[in-house]
Amino acid sequence: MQKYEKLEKIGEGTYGTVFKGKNRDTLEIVALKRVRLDEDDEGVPSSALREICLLKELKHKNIVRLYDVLHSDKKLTLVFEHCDQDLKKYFDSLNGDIDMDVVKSFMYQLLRGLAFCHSHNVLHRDLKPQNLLINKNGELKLADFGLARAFGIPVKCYSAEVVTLWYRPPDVLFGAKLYTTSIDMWSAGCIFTELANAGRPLFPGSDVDDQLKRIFKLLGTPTEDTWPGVSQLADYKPFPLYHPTTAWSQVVPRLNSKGRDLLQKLLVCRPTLRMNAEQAMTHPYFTDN
Amino acid sequence: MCSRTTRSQNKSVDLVKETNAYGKRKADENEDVKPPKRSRAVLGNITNAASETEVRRNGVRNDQIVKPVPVEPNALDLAAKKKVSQKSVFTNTNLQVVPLRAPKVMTRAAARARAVQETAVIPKPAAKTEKVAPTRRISNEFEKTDESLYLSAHEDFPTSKGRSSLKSSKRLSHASTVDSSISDTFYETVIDPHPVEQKPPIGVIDFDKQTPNDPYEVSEYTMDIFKYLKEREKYYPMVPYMDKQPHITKWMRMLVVDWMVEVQETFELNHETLYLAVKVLDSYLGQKVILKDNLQLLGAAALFISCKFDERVPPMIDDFLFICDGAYDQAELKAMELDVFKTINYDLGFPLSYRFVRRYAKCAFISLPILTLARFVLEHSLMDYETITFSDSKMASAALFIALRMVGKPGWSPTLEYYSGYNVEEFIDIALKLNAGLHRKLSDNIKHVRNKYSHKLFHEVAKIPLLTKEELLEGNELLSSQKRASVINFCQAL
Repeated sequence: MQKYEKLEKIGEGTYGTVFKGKNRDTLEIVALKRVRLDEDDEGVPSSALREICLLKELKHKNIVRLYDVLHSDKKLTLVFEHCDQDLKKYFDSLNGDIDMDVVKSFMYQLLRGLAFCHSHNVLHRDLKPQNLLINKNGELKLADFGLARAFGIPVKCYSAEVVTLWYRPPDVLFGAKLYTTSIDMWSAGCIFTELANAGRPLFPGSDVDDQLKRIFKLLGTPTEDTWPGVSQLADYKPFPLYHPTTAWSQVVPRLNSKGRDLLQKLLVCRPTLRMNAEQAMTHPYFTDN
Repeated sequence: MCSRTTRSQNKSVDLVKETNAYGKRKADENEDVKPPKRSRAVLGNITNAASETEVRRNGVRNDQIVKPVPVEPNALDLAAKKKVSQKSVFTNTNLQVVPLRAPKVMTRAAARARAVQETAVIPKPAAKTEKVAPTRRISNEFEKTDESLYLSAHEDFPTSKGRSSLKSSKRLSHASTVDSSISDTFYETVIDPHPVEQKPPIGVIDFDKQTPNDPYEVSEYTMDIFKYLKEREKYYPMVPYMDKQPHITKWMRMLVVDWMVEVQETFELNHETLYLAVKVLDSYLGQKVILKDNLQLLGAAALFISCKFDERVPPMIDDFLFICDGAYDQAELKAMELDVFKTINYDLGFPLSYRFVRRYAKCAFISLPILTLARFVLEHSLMDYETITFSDSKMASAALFIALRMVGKPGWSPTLEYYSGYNVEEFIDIALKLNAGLHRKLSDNIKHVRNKYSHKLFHEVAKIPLLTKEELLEGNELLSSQKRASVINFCQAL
């Protein structure tokens, strides 16, 4: 730890405390995520292990950079690039007003980071504003890969207990254990809406049922016709038949029609029909000016 | 990084749930027993094997091992069974112990998911008592020599020197070259990362277009991902290490890998986990000298790490201590875990032959039995030290080629050539080595791969007659006559 001077605590990650730190040689400010090993009888926590391994592979400007891993018998310290704040804090500072160009920029960077993850075989699985870091240059970076994993092809059975509730897609809410890159695309759609509404979450559900109800009230309740196989999912249960809303301009009043079009292609209940990150990046919302 | 607000609480709840799921699973397995408060440790310290180790370690470990542990019926039962078979540890036969996890149906994945996966079909022990638990300390078997490994036959096909043409180069940096500013004009410079769509040549089916509506094939990314994995092979060179390892032999490595296969079966781990663990083992051995007594600890640590990376519900540390038969304690395994993790530079991104072979087989619509045969060939090769330096994508191609030839198929096809990126000439040397490896008769201690693939669930592929090298090459029009001649000369020269 001599190489870095520990400064103030920034927060708590999935599995460790995060401090601000300073490289004693270069004076560069970094983020130090400390993982205590003596408290855990299971050795290196799997979330830390995955985050380290995956981030070593994922070097991209829209993904937080892992510079170094320091170790002692008692702890591992992950040295990350430092970002000024996360998107959640940024939202809190907005007072309900956001520049729509910033929305577009952040959304594009989110998709670019995601496309990179997905084409490099990694699912993030926990996208939410707290896990998106932004810096003074307006750059956005995916962070906290503690729940991320490399996926096989064909995709195998994974845990259904992933993604913070508000950003969790309906298939996973219904207990789907086979999911793929589409899991992150749903979260991206939720975050897009939240961006466009300057930080008002789209589906702030209180539990799984409430979460699904909120989703279906907006998008319509899926049926075997609109989503073959939905009733076969492990935790499926019938919901009242809501009709999809037509009033997207009320959901995201400040977003232009192309943006709304993109949003509707991301927020699709049936995972197969959800747009992927690369397609989304070429959507007219970004390409037409 | 970022401060957590109340919203992040959701996740911690989820994580707790995930842990609970494990407990539930255990309970399901031992229906007659209350979910035990991890009492596996009690099993670790009752055997002769443990005390043998203690003696070897000047008795230091005694205090560490013997801890007061709440005894509950299940543990006693198992302990009793284990005691009965203690002697067998020293007669080099396997313990006939009911594996803790075995007596039960599919835990790790539902049967339905299994069908989808097509891979993790693990033979359930028909008779529990016949299932061999991986509770054996294997170091006493290390006393044998490399020679005793091969009981007979086909010794005329010696192993090659490490033929790695791979350079020790720095790991790939994926720094993007795309403009990093987010000026207002960022969207004018949208760069399509794949402007030219990759199209297969005429006569080759575009597999990924066949499955556009199957989200689990991730078809839009598959070409990219496999290209990436193949590219990355050169950043994970394996260096031959036996010359620099004074305390271990190829035979010992084979024993450990065989034991790892056994663990994979018993814990019902993904095959990827096994392949990854073997990579971790070899990668470590390429960099650090290990004592004979610690080789199994290394194997356990490699599995422990791989499980944490790949398994949905990784086994607990006590499970690993148990399968090492109490030879090591928790502190030792944790220390080894950290040592391994550091030594391999925290990198588990090894491209795995197993993944390539599934991809190639799928793209060419190769039937499951043939794919299973190819997997048998690959898994068999895991035990062969001489293969550690081979490229994984070439190994996958070679294994699939052998499998196709063994069932009387022509071998390589344009489709396979397209998706693997190799023609037969590029991997025929490896195919010949893998084939020769199959012919080698192994001692009775090394039998898990063959037994596993002799099972019905694995289509009994291990029982399919092997081919001679001539038969392997025969009638393969894709192999030029010139290359064939040179390969045959090559074989004869050996």
